[in-house]
Amino acid sequence: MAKSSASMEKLKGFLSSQINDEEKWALNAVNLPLLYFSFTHLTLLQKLLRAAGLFAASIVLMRNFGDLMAI
Amino acid sequence: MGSSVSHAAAPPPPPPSPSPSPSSVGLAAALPRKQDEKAEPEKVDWLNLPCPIPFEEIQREALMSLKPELFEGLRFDFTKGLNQRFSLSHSVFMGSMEVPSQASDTLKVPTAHYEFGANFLDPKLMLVGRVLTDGRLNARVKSDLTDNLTMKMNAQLTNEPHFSQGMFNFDYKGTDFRSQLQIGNNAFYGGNYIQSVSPHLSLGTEIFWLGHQRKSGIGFAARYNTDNMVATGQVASTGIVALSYVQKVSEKVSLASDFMYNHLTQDVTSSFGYDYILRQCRLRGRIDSNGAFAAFLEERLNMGVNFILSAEVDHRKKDYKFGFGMTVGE
Repeated sequence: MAKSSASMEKLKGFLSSQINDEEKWALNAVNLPLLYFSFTHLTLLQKLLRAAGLFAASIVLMRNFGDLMAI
Repeated sequence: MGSSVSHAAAPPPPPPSPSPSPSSVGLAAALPRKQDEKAEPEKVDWLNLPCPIPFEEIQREALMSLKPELFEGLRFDFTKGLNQRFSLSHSVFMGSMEVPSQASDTLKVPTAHYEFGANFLDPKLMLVGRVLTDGRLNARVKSDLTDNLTMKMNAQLTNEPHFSQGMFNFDYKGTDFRSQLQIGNNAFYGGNYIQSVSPHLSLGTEIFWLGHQRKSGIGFAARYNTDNMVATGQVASTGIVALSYVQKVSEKVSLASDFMYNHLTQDVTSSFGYDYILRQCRLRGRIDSNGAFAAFLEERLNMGVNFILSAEVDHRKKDYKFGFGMTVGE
């Protein structure tokens, strides 16, 4: 308990140093939207891999485990 | 002869067991013969291949399972048969329709319309007409000129200039091939040909020419089907690659998956769905690689009365479409 409260204090201290310090805030605020953008706007290759992966995985599942969905 | 009688009477034997049961010992002479018959593959009659399905329906199983007619709003359809061949239909729709716009996002337009339809269905002639309150007219004619030659005509007429369309199709069905010639407005000419190359595999090709825009295109398609599965692939010079796979799990259940890549719009989508056809209802659902999922339920409440529920949710685009409706009559 004492160790966890000490680590919590350390974490709070770190976060407040990042947020309240003007320079640190400017650094992080630029990176955050970019990070969000990279998750929401995928490149064509990423979309292709995602779609091809879903297609291939669904075929494998259908052929091997499709009987489980039969009624 | 004796072996078939013994097959009817005997229980199935255990596969290679060191000590066969006493009841099957007397059939030992007959049983190895049956297993030999099963091991021989069926001989293919290469001159008598089945007729393939039409080129434009090459992905019909996947389309039926994965692309139900989703809608947003209220839908009511009433079909009244006046006699064996002639029927009238009345449809009311109130809701939003998606209109493709210049930007990548589609535009939702609130719409309400009433559609009156008349259908004449004969074994050799089919006439279907629809007229809507916004001034659109749809007409379809299908006529079997001979046993192998069919003529089809589609027309969509609108009040807006340059938006009307018409198309003539001539389909010829051979013993193991089908061919089609298309002539449309705006100097559109097209044709396709599909040939069975084996009892399970058929290959096809299509070509088109748009006169006014001086554009042409060629495409190839393949379809492989067995009793339990259908796999298709299509490639076109317009930059489209479309693959589909349907697994028929049982008489009532199908699972389907498709993949579509469009090089011009740099868009790629894949979806996976199910199709349950039960006595009282038909339920279809799918999820796609963009994170959108949809479901479509048709519930038979009574003879000729169906209740419909449609839902499509895309959390990423914050697009939620829910619809309900009823259809009365066959």
